[in-house]
Amino acid sequence: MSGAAARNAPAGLLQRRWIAWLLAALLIVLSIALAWQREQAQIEDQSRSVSVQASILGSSAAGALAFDDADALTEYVNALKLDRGILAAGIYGDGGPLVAGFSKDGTPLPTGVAVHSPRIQGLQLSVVAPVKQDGLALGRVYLRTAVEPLTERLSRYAAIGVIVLMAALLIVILGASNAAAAEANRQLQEEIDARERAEAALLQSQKMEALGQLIGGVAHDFNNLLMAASSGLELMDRAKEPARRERLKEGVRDALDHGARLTQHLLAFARRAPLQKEVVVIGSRIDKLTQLLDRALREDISVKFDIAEDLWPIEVDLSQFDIALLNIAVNSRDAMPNGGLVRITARNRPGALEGQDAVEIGIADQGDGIGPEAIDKAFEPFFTTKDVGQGTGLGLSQVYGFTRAAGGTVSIAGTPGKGTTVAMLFPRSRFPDAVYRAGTRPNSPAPVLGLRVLLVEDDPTLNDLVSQMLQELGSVVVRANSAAAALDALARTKIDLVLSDMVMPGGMDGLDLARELRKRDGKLPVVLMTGYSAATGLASEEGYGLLRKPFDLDTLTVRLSEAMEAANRG
Amino acid sequence: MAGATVSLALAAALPLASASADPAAPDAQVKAGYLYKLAAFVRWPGPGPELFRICVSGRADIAAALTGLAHDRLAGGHRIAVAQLDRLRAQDAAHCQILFLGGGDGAAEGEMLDAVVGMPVLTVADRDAGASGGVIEFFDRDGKLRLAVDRAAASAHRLELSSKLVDAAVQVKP
Repeated sequence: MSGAAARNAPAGLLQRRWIAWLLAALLIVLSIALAWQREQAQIEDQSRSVSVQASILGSSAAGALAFDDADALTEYVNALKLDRGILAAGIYGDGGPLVAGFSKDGTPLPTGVAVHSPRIQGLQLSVVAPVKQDGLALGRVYLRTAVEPLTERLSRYAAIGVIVLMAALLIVILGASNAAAAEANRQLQEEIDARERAEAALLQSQKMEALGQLIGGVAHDFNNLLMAASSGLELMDRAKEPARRERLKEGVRDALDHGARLTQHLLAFARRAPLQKEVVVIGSRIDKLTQLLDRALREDISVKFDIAEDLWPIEVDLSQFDIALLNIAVNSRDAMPNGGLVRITARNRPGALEGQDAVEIGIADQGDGIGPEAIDKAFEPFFTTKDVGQGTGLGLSQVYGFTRAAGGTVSIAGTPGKGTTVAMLFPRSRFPDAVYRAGTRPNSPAPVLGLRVLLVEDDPTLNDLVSQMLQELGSVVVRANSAAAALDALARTKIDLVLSDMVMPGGMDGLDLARELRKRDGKLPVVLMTGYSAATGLASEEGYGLLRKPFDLDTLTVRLSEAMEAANRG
Repeated sequence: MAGATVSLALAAALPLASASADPAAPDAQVKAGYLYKLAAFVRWPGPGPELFRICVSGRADIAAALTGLAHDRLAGGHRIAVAQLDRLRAQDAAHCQILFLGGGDGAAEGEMLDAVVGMPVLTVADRDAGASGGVIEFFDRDGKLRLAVDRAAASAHRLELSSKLVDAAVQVKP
């Protein structure tokens, strides 16, 4: 039952009560009407019967009346005495005199009568019929009968009246009980609503708690790395030896890299990390994954791949995929302090993802396993079972964010002491023909020297910085601070590549600009820079190059080269 | 035409009849009433005449009483004419629907009966006055006028008598 139905309940209740009363009243009125109609029919019957008796008497008395046979007339009249219903009868001659008759109840017979149809007077019904022979009026016949008294008639209806009243009462009682049931239902619904509100409030408070935990964790990590960076810079000012300065610089660099990874993880969890999806068959990446895992795991841990033949392609951001696999493998490593086997499986799972075909990638270890409580919280950010300093609690939350962003799911299963299995499900790609196989990436960036780059960035600091980076690479930079300015610049000068921020004020953002440019000149390569944007997935799907902030010179070079190559190919 | 003759006779006879009514004969009213009512209890063959004729022989007072009774009334849907037959020829009796024999002139009434043999004429005889041979005969019993019915005679005259009439009769000759 919905809230709307619950709110409507009082109106329906009223209506049902009203209908019950109406039905009961209708039943009674109908019964009275039927009884009255039956009464009328009975009186009509009696009238007709008395008329017929009078006619018969008149017809049989005609001869005797015509020829003055008073004895015969008396006989005819007296025959009616046997009828208990007849109170009085009389035969009158043509001139009006009473010739023969009787009266049982003592009321004398009228001395003269005029012809009239049956008429009720009190509890008596009287009729005067003419006596005729062949059209010749010979006299009149008078009959008076008793009508059944009202009490007797009512007693006849008493039984049926009681039944009707009981039925009416039943209807009213049913209506009332129905109303009571509706009332109880309404109260129950109110209770359910109240409980739902309480549950929602509890959920909200849990969310707030998780958020607080998240913010606290991030602040803590950032404090640490800011501390490292600022103290590193401070020490660099004082250090005289170039080797020491170089070490300090590296420390600052590491701290900043750590910060960038941290935000990447956070964004992945929030599903806002710019994904660069590629269609890939996981089986083709075993070599690369083996390399990756060999570096991250200890020597006493062996990795075994069990990849099914004819694996379907999936669409994932490969760098995120690698990180996710690494995060899970590191957890396995830490769960097996005495070494063991990590088993990575991949197989097709038809219809496993809400009816859609999917590919399942599982990572199983022989470690400590995981308890039910830890399973519940495993994907929450900053939840960790490791000792302080051994993990950030962001590993599995990155896995969670990454699989969700890829349209898949992740689950964790395990028993304490018997190992843990993490299973990721990814939807089967709709583009099996465009399989991107590992190893086809450009290894040597094409020179971007002399490239005329239009830089579109509304933030002046970033505009300056990226401009310097581009100049460092030997590009010729044309700067614009909005999409409109960029279009102006394009009209004025020749541009080889557009590098634009994604989020910009004004009516047109980076994606709009890219689309506009594609419409004008489909061959002009466009690379979009973004920290985070809800539209990154869209941009990636539409085939624009994406440059994730923060980025370094190498990444910039690679992205620009890729974009140029793609433009030359297409 | 016989009809015309009767009508004329009626017009001439009635004032005479009422004038010569015998005030000392109280049975005249009763007999006139019976004659008048008889028409309702008897069915004549055929469609019936335009004028319903009641012919009275020998009793001017009864004829006069009948005329008073039958004024503006119908018998079997027809106007009633009353005729006194004393001055008519016996053959004219065949044109009557009811022929009352008052017992005045025995020979003349015998002629009249002969004239209507087999004809659809209801003959009524006043037995106390000496008349006889009618389909219906009047007679007095205990001071009341009673009826005698001859069903065979009725059949001979092709007349149908109502059972009510037969019931009301004191004497019934099959």
